[in-house]
Amino acid sequence: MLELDDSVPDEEWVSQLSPEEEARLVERLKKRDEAAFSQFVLVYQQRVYSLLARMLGNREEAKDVAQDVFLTVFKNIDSFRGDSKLSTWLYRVAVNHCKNKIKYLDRRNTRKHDVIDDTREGAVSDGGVIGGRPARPDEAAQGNELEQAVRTALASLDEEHRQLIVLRDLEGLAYEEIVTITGLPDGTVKSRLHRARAALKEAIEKGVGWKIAT
Amino acid sequence: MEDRHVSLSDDEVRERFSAFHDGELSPDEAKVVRGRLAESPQLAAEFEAFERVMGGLASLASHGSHDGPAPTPRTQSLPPDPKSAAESSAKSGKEPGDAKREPAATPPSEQSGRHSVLPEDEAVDLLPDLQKTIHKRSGGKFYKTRASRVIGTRPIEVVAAVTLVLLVLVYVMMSYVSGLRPAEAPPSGAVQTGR
Repeated sequence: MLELDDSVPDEEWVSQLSPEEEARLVERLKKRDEAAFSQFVLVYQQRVYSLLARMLGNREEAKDVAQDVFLTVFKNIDSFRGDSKLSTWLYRVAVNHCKNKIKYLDRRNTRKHDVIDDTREGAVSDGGVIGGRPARPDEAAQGNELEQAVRTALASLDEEHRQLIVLRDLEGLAYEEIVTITGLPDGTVKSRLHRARAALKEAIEKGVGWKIAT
Repeated sequence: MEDRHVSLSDDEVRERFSAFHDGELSPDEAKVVRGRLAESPQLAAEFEAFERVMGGLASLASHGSHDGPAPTPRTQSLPPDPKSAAESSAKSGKEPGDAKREPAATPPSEQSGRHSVLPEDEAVDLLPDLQKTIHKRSGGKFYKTRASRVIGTRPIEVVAAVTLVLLVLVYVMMSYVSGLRPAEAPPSGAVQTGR
């Protein structure tokens, strides 16, 4: 029977698993423990979906790919050798699925890139707080404008650049994790990330028609 | 310690904005970049612009993390493996799950909840479809009983038990209400006939 514990936070729980605990979880997943797999999905589905939505720029496609990612995990968990964290491996599976989907959609010329608008009222840098004080309306508006500009510019970047920015700056992954996920050498990740950020800045300036300056 | 002097051109400083932002430069290089930013208003303005872009990204990334827990529709914790939970609690002398609540030794950049979460209306629930698909593709081997699936935050058995209890309560209440009605007096004629 599935035991649920309301007191334990979700992602925090998993991110703090000790290597031994993670190994036990993997063991249960390898045994195709249905309860463990269900909870694994519940813990990671939002992050995987969010990553895919930002990389694909299309919510429906992101949902489809996220389904495929978890099906792959269920089927191929035996191929996880424990060289990296389980979450890193999951991201790698997600990124590979995403690349395949992009290739497929590009071949069919059916790729749509919605600009995912997750702007909410009061959403400005640091959650509506600037320098420890609530943002003034003009600052909030400016922050939202920048956020929207970033979102639009991100959608216009090429896949490789967008992937690195999403992994590093939106998902907050460490360089070592990005190296594992992308299979690129450390130096390449750093130099490409630099180029990606520069391209993003340029795209923002081009898109909004103003120089980013204070 | 060796005080190695590194000199960088403007373009070389620009090339290092990204690594400088991430704290990936060596202490010597970081010192030189800091010095160049202090002496060149042009470079300082460019770096400030770069930082604003990074601020916009951080703001996107922080959506959801400042507003409470991720908008997931169910309780999210892995079910404890009874055997391993017992082992670990015996080893550490702690209750199972205690270790999960201890603060993680994560770098500062990762302690600020920098994972992206889409807003509440974007919460996804992939599990029901996944369970159905796995059930179907495995030829009924996995998730074969409905009890192995969950409804909302509760297992289906709990939902069934609660429903059953509610039905019994309704039945009892109806019986009680009908039992309160005064018994109708038999017609007087009928009594006389009986005698």
